[in-house]
Amino acid sequence: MSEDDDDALHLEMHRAADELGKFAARLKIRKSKGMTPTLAKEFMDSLLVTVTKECFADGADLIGHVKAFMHTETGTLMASLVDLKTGVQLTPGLDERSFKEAEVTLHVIVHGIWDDKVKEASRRGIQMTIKKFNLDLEVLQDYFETEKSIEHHIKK
Amino acid sequence: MKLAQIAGFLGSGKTTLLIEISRELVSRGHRIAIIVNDVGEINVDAKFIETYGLKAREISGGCICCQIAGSFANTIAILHNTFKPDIVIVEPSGVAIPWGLKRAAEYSEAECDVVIEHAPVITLVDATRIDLLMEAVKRLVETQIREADVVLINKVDAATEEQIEKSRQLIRSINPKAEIMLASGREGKGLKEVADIIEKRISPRYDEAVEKELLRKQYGGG
Repeated sequence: MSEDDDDALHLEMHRAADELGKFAARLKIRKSKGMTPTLAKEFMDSLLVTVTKECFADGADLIGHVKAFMHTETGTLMASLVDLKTGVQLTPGLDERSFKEAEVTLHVIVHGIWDDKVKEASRRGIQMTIKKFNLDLEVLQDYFETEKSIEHHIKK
Repeated sequence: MKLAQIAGFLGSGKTTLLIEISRELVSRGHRIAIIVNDVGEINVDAKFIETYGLKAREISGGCICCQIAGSFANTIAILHNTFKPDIVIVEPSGVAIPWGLKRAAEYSEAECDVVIEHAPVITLVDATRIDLLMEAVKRLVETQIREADVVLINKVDAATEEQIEKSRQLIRSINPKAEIMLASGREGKGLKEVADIIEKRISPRYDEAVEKELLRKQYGGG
């Protein structure tokens, strides 16, 4: 097998792997009146479902994995969604106290639409959920991947 | 130092299973470190794993077998020099190729005084989504199954008998040599058996010819 064949094979492999649309964001949310652990669970559930439904409305046909991790002074809360029918799986680690501020890391990976569309749909879903729960939002990091992970294999 | 890969498509239950297996191995007296490789630059899994008191390191997304191979090898070398784990469990991004990861791990031998041995490659298959996955991401799922030594049909607590049997037939057709086991990360099914496999068994080191042959079969039309 020649070097060119090797490169072509490698590129093909990465294209196959990269057919998933991805978006990730690190958010800070605030609620001046405070957020109970129950409300935090409802928020995480709603965030994942809303973002996923927005992706599907824009053409996604399969969830890769939509997940989020919340970190507050009262503990942590992990949320994971792989199937809308099964619903969001929560792994709670928050104590009983309310909190006013939390950091949330969100990952959205779906099949059927590319990164820019996942980004648009996810941002829309985030804003809808923030509005629903009457929260203040600060976007700490907002990242979406282009074909950069395979760029080094593409001969220009 | 032994390296154990737990591969599988996104959402197949890798993180849940990895945490429970790590806790089992820690209870047997092992010193465990975990490396996770989310596809995004912002990592979720490492933060979650650390809430269980486990040692986790994250690697940013990218091409596991080339672009981030250097940082992966470097991470193993740092773990070896600072934490001295006897087993490193690796959770690839869910779009990774197991043989490429073996090669990347062995690069760390040039960076520190360590000899890498590999536990059998374990691939998880989500029985509850087998039809959807084979429709949408067939090639990737097939690659991960083809390169596995052991395939775990996971989430059997939530799957139907039909889904489990369909998964079994699919695995058998792609990789007749693979050992097939049933598992449920949430209910702990198969946990001790998987821990035994990681603890006691060895898988071959990286072989370029083998990797090329596997890739050619899958992607090269050969």
